[in-house]
Amino acid sequence: MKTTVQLVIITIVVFFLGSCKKDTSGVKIGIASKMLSNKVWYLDHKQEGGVTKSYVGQATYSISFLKNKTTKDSDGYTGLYLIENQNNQLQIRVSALSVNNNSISYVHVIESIGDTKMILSYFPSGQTEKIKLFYTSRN
Amino acid sequence: MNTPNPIDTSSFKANFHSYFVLLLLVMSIGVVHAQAPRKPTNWMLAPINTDSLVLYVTGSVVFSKQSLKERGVTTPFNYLYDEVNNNVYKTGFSLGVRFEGKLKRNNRYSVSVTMNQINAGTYYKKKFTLSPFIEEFTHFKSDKIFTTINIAPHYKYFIPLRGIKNYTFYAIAGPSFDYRISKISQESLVNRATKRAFIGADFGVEIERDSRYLFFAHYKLGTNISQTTVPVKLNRFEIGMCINTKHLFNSKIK
Repeated sequence: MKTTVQLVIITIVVFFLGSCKKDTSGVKIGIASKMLSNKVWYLDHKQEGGVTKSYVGQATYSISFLKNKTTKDSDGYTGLYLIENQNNQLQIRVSALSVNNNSISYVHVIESIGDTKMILSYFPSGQTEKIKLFYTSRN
Repeated sequence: MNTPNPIDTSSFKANFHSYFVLLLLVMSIGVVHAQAPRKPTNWMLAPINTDSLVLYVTGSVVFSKQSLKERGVTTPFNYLYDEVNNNVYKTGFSLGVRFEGKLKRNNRYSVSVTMNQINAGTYYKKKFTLSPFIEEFTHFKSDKIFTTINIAPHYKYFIPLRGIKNYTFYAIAGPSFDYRISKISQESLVNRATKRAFIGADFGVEIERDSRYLFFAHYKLGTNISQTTVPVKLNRFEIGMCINTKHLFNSKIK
């Protein structure tokens, strides 16, 4: 009887102090993919060298990311995208082709992402000041 | 060619906690039944009259709210504050078993093991802004609905009230342990923010009728046992009823 009681107590203690599932980069990528995909993202603002340009209410650049990992933008580029975690920082890697078969590939860092708001950034080649792109999504 | 289906271990993993809870409940009932006819020999059980053990089934309505404060969550996610914040008590329920015994004089103790379906309003104490682009947001989104197994030993202090026949009143207090058995969402897992175990304190009143049934109203205040980047305070009001199994099933415990 005493052994049973002790067993119950030990089991309860172990059960309560048991560790929780650990997060991995896969968890972050999973959440980011869910937030990013199957939407069209419209560029609202562009911040460069401390100057912010607004495109709200104007014809603006847009890009769509689909669940099947394909992407298409308003400049006519279509291709593939990948979300990856580098140095604990989420990134979108895009490889695309234009209508004229010109290839383009770039990596943008995800500064912030939600269901409707996203901020991406990148360093233009040869420059030390980063450019921030502020997007709003519409389904 | 037909290929054999791979063994689905994920369903077992997902249900592991449920199996464990079931085992725990069965073991708890087994302990109650086994202890009842014996006289205590242990010094800790000495003041407890185990002959008086009574088994109840219990059910209650639970109103819950969780308050949480981000501390150094490093995720790039933004959840619009107005969409996730809901500073209200929401309704869930609780079912389980409880056994009661007498202490010296008129006071009693009770130990309950219950399964709780928590439906909690969520109050995010900290919010961020990237004005004018994002007005108010949080980096973390908590689960609002989850299931816990709760173990709560309570001390019941008899309140002598004159002029009320057939009913006895008790004030109760005691610790409370909750373990989350439902699956944790991906959103809640980032930065290892969500912890499964809660510890808390319970206070309340109970009205009993001839050990047949009793009504109770408890306030439960819980917090995470282990350290986390998003500490949660889980506040609950519980209003419920216990029915003596002896009267419910017309069988004797002893």
